[in-house]
Amino acid sequence: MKKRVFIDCHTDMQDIPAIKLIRRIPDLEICGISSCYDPYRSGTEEKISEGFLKSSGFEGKISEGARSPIIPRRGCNGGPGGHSEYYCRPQDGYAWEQMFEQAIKDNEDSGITMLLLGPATNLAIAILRYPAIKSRIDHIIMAGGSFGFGDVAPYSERNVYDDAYACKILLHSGIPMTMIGLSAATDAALSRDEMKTAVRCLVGEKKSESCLEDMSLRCLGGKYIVPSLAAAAWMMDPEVAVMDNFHVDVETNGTEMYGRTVIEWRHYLHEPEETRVAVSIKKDKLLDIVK
Amino acid sequence: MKKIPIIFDCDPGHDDAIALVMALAREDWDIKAITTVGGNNTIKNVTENALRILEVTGRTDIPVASGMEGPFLKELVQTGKFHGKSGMDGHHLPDPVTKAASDDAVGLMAKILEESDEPVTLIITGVFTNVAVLLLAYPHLKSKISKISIMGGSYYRGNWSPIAEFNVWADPEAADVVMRAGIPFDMYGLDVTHQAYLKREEYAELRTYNNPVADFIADLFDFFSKSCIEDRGHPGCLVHDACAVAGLIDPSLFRYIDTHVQMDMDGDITRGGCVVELRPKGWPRDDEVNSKVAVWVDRIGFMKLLLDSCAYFGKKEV
Repeated sequence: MKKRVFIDCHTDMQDIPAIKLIRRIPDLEICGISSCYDPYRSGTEEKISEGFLKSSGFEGKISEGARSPIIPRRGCNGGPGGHSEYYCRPQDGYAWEQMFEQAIKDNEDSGITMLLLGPATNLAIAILRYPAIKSRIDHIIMAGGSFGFGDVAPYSERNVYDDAYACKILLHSGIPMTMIGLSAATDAALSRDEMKTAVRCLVGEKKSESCLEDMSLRCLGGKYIVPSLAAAAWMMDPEVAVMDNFHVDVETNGTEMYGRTVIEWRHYLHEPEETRVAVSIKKDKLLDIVK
Repeated sequence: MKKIPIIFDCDPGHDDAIALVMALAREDWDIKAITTVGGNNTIKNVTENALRILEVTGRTDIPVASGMEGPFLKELVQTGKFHGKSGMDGHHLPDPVTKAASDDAVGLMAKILEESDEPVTLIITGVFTNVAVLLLAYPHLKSKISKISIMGGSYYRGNWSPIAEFNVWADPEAADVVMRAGIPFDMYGLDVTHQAYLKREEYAELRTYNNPVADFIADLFDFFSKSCIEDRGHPGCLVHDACAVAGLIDPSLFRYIDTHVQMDMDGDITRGGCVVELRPKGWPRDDEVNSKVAVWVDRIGFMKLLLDSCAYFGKKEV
């Protein structure tokens, strides 16, 4: 029986290459897709983009998720985020409802894997609303966080920073979790040409430009650093990453440190180390997988 | 008579029980559900206490649903010594015969709001976790809530820390979600609930009513007075949660200020406290009003309302 994965992602074109890569994994079935909270999407673009709907190749319903984080950043740590309110229930229900529906499908013996390619808001709401979901999620794979430096702040990676509380809820949920974040993905930073070639292999010539355009936030110092692609590659072949286990938490206070994933690297303390963290990504292996 | 639709979210608790009795005495209120949340005691105990209260008042027609066991991010801290082992020590009521209608308080609240033709008033006298999850999971239903009457928070004094009141301190993230939701809320914090007390000789009148509800409440007062009067030196027995009900019944009993309230979740020693904008108008301040904060109560009027509510059950066949 195929394993089932539910993908919570950005629903412009930036995560399409990762989804295409996941679709190549033979023993994996995508059982649901939802739209993550995305503070960089304009208020007029709340709907899931046509490009995403056409490109994802997913035939089930794609549900809409949160339009604001669980707890917005406050004045002391960067100001509010969030978009317009929902004034009616989305046609296909909320992301967290679909997550729960898929997780508890009673004809399935095993639970599901949750793959988060954006902020963790939707899954955090699912855990709060439906505590029983915790026993039906085998594994959370989060493309985000960082072992060291950040992108949106000195130590904070964008996906975690955009809803640090949600990430904390996941880390405290007791569900096994793997974090493939910015610092590891930096080992596999791709030039524009390399990225273009990789994206073409996954989505085709026609859609590659719009994917690259929507990945612009992941272009740092002229190189593409894309945790979502690294996470998808790891799901296909775990050999692409060097992993280790740590205790991980998220800073939800402070200004400069807000949204930092704090990784307890001191193995000698012999404390519980619940989270599997990608320490580095092998670039050559990643490019081989994509091709 | 058009009745006011109400959902009552609580964690009984002595003062929750008194607040519930006051609400149940209102013939002009349509209490759609009582939902419970882990707070004063475990979710099991507070739910059973809610069922007991409905049985003693003869209102088992109201559904009870149990909700969140504990806060968003930390373990539940109970208020055991103040409310006793059961969460409502002082009067022995048998185990409830009725059962909770559901263990999904958030689902029941959402269903009631979805189906309601008119906006519903929420009363919160416990930790805010249930309502916060409701607002996060069903954001489109915010417009179905006319207002929230809250016992929680404070602007100067705390009980669980020097500045933090228990209901918001226990789950400050949940309180923050509720306060930021854009739904107007009336806040009855410790500063005003400490004015809402009954002296021993005042609540002793309940013993003369000769009805089981009044006896039940008198016993609760006797138990709760020990911590309020003997341990903490208050002039009477505080009835915090009843303020959130009394203010809805008769707002003229209170004086309010319209102001902005938010939670502090970051401070080393102020986490769980409320930040209430009290600076005078004309000063540099945040003027985005989201709350009516009660600052004064007519204690005698409040007491009369409470006693009349208990007397009601003697006139009514229970």
